[in-house]
Amino acid sequence: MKLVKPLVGLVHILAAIAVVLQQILGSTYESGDVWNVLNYVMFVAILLAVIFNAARKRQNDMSGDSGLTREYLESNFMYYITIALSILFMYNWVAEFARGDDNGGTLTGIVWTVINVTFVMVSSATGMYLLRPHSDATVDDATE
Amino acid sequence: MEPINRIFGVIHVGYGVAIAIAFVLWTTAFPDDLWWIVNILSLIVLLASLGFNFARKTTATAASGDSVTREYLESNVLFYGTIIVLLLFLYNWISILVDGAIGFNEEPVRDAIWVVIDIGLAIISTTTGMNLLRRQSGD
Repeated sequence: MKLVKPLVGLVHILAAIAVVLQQILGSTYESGDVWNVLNYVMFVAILLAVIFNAARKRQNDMSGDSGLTREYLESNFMYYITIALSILFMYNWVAEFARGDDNGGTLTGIVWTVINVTFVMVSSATGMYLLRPHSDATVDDATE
Repeated sequence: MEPINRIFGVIHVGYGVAIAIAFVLWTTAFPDDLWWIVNILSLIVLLASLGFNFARKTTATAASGDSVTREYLESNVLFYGTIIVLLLFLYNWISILVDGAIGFNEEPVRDAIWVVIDIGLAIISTTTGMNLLRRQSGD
């Protein structure tokens, strides 16, 4: 587990960098295929973020500390924003598969922008947390 | 109160998960007619959430005095979150009842509000249900 956390943290940071660069520079070239690949990367990163942020929240909930600590606020915020992001991402991604070539119009475009910006924040914050030496979140906590 | 909390807890968690799945899949195979039933169920769940979360907020506010405790913060966030989602839901639903249902992408603002409602409803319903089940189990 000691190796897994930094590795997953690194994946999150790299995914965030890839998405932010693509979001900013995507309009300068034909980027449809890049997004098609990045969507799979984002799916894996979001899935890992849900698991690790659920573990972090659960660990804090079970710590017995009833105070309003920074860790309590951070872990809850990260957990719920990741859940919202995962639902939103799955909604737009599944719709893309269902529609085929149709780009979905205004709403889909706005939702993708919200997803991409939120993903960059969530993924980089989760990655930074996992790269920190004292981060305690483990997958075991989430699956217990 | 315990059996009521348990029953409503299970209903809320089940409905929260169901609405999240329906939201993700609705562009693939979800029949449009089903949204009529989903909207009525959503109203019932939101009103029940409002009742439970108001009771929780009142208790937490009275118990915490001047201090900000976890229970105080959680109950207030959940209560006001429920009110916001309920208001958005009623606004959008009444608009549909008055104007008639319209197709996807014909009204991007209304569609965007449905996205916010569905995600908010899934999270609020599940969180309210989990809290009712936790209270029932004596945590």
